[in-house]
Amino acid sequence: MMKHLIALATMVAVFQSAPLLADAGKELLAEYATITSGPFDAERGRQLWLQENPSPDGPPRTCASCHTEDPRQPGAHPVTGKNIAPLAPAANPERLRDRREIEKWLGRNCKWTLGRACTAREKGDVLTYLLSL
Amino acid sequence: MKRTLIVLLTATVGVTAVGLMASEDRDDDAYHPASRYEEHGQGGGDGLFARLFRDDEDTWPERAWLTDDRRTLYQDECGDCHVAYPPGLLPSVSWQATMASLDNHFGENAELDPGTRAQIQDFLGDHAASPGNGDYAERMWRATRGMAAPLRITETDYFVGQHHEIPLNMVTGNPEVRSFSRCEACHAGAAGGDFDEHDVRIAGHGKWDD
Repeated sequence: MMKHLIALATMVAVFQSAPLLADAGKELLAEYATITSGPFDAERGRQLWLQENPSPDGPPRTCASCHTEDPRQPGAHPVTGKNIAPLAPAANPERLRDRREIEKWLGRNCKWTLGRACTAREKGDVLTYLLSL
Repeated sequence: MKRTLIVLLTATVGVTAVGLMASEDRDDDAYHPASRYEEHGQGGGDGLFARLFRDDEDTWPERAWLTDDRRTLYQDECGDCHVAYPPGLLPSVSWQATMASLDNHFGENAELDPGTRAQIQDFLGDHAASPGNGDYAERMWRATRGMAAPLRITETDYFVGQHHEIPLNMVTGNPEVRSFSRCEACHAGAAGGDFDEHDVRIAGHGKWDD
């Protein structure tokens, strides 16, 4: 009886929390969609993720430089060695829950990786890719 | 009478020995700070008298920065890639220069929205190395006065003086440490300003004894 109660409680808890998964990420996606034309594409997002971009110093820069080629894996900062928890919400439910954080990191990291700010389409594609994992 | 003399002599020798053990060692290296801030501390070891007499000069006597409300913001925004360096380690002009160049922060983009940036800059400035911010911050200020706004803590005279004895194979040649800028690799209390030289554990090598 107790075991069933616990199982039921767990299912209820998970079901209740599911709508919160990546809520900020989905909200931003909806906003980007109003700025761009056409749907976002997870595959395009994946290619952007892996794309190697020229660097003013050192090896080519890609999202994978810090986050590895698989966003479900932990990464590390190549210089400071700081551990970076997985970025895919499926692997890390904390991710894409804070709008300010998403915008801050997209801002910084697009500029570092691509040398410029990402377009709304690119941001939408990358978020779609992360959510698809 | 003879016994009294022997006892007195032994006591004198004993007290002298204790006094010598507890006194400061002066190392002959290029960096000679004011005597009060002698880098090799008092007492030398972990013995009873060393513990009694040594001055815990490597922790912050001034704690206001730790309880400042803005510290959480600083840790959140500036602690993602490296330890959020205690503000007292650099003078205000250095922090200003750093916060004004976040788009190229040692090769990284660390930009912040203007409001957050301003708050953090104020926090850093309020607790920066300066004569008014307590012993440690004053020491750092004194050490950096001759430099024009150093951006790297690891290049300040004081830092170099404190770390010059460490073999490079334990730091830059050590894959678990790699850089002097990774304070937390050897100083577990770095985020809280605790750099006590008696609690140093070099990753991959263990306790560091002077």
